[in-house]
Amino acid sequence: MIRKARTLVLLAAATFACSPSPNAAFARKVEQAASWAAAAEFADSMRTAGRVPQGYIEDLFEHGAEDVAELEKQVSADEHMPASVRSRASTLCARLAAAFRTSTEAKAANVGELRTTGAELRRLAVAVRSGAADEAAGAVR
Amino acid sequence: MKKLANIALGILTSVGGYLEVGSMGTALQAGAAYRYQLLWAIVAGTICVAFLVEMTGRLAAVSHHTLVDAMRKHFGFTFQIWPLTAQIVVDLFVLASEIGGASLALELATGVSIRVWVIPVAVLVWLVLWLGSFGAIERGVAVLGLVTLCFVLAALWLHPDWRDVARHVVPRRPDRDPAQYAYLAVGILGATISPYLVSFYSSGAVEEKWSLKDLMPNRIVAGVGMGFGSTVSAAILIVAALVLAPRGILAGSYEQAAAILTVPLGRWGFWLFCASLFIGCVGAAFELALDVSYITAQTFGWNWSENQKPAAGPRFSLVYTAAILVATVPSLLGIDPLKLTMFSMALTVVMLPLITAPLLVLMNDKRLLKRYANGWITNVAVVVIILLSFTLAVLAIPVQIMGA
Repeated sequence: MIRKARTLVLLAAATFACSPSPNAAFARKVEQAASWAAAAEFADSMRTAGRVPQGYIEDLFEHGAEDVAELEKQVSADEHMPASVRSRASTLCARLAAAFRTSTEAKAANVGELRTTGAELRRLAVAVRSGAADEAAGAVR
Repeated sequence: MKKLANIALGILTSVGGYLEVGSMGTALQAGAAYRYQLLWAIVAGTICVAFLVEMTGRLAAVSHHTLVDAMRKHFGFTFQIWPLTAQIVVDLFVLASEIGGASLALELATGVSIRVWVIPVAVLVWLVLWLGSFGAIERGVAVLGLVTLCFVLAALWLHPDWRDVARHVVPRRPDRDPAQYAYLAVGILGATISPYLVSFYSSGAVEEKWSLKDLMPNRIVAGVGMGFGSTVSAAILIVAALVLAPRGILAGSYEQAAAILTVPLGRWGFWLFCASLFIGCVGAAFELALDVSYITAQTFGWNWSENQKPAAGPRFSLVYTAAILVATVPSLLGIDPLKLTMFSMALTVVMLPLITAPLLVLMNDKRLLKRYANGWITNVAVVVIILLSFTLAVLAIPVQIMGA
């Protein structure tokens, strides 16, 4: 009985030690949004070089818009983060989702907007991971 | 000469049939997020699966029993129901991921929604099983599966720093986010140590009437075949580390990763990615659907063989038909194939001890295997890797759920 309890305590302690800080979990969502921007930019450069078909690009934009819109909801609802950081992440995700939608309509990537928003998301993620959450929101404005 | 041809065929089957949605998805994500840091998980998983496959082949060659058959005879029906249930649950989730992966490959290639492709893919898998024989399916998958070697070609083409690659064959502390790192390690281990591979291999050995003279080819095929097969997974991880990671692409979905081969292989790269995903997934779907039938029929003592006509084993055919039908549901509901894959792989690792512990007991039974029972190296290697995987899963899955 004591041995079982000890094992459970050890497992719980190890799980706690491994558990992501709220910052890491939040930063991961922001990085996922930035990843969509990077993937779209990369795929569009390959389309320009004639290496991927147009259908794939449109599919990528469509899924990117859906996924980033979902991420926007998640970052807005993350109550572990200061409101300013949530608001900044949410605004950037909304901008990215809009860029995907306009890219879908134009059937070509809005490269400038994807690149800028992606870079800002990455900077925000780095700042959040480093623990400078409030400064993070200000730094990328 | 015939023995050599059999060994070559066995290795070819292992290489061609190795890649599937789990190994591809987990290697892509691991390489994109952690570069080479998770290479050790592929190596550990491969060592473990090579031992497990060799053991079940040895069991079949010596006792002429499949793994499930031997377990039922040794532990009784009441016990056997538990590993059976665990494996059917795992098989169904992985089968659903494979059908989703194959349908997604068609979406990437055509631009037509995945939901349109789910039923045609399921019908294709069912038709091939209904009409084909074990040997034809196994060899067909192996030959078509060689297309996945394009990842090895791409990895060589990209000239990675091999010293840096080799450094990560042993585990190291991750440079960031240990929770995500552990979860990806669990995914890779689950994809590599697939329980279905083990029971499928065992059933195949009995279908092909292995005897003592097949022991050496079995050992070579298990070691070399699995080793070569896992180089495809390692190559995907390397390509992802060199193409996706520097661009900040995390491969959170297959759409993000589909252009990965266009850097080293040009316009062929995109189509080779789609073909690899489709063939790998369909090949694994054949094996998984058959495995559900094999383990169910062997547990209940029904007539079983993929070489017999469906009318000769109606219950056997009915089980894989039902399994395929059930496995279409997640993709039809719109669940993302990569997320489903990661969940299935984690579930696989959690269930591993329940499936592999009885095998270890059997393999140490000298009444059953006589002088061919396990040695201590095999026992220690398998126990250590399974326990490591299980502990990682128990730690990483709740953390991942909390993080999500």
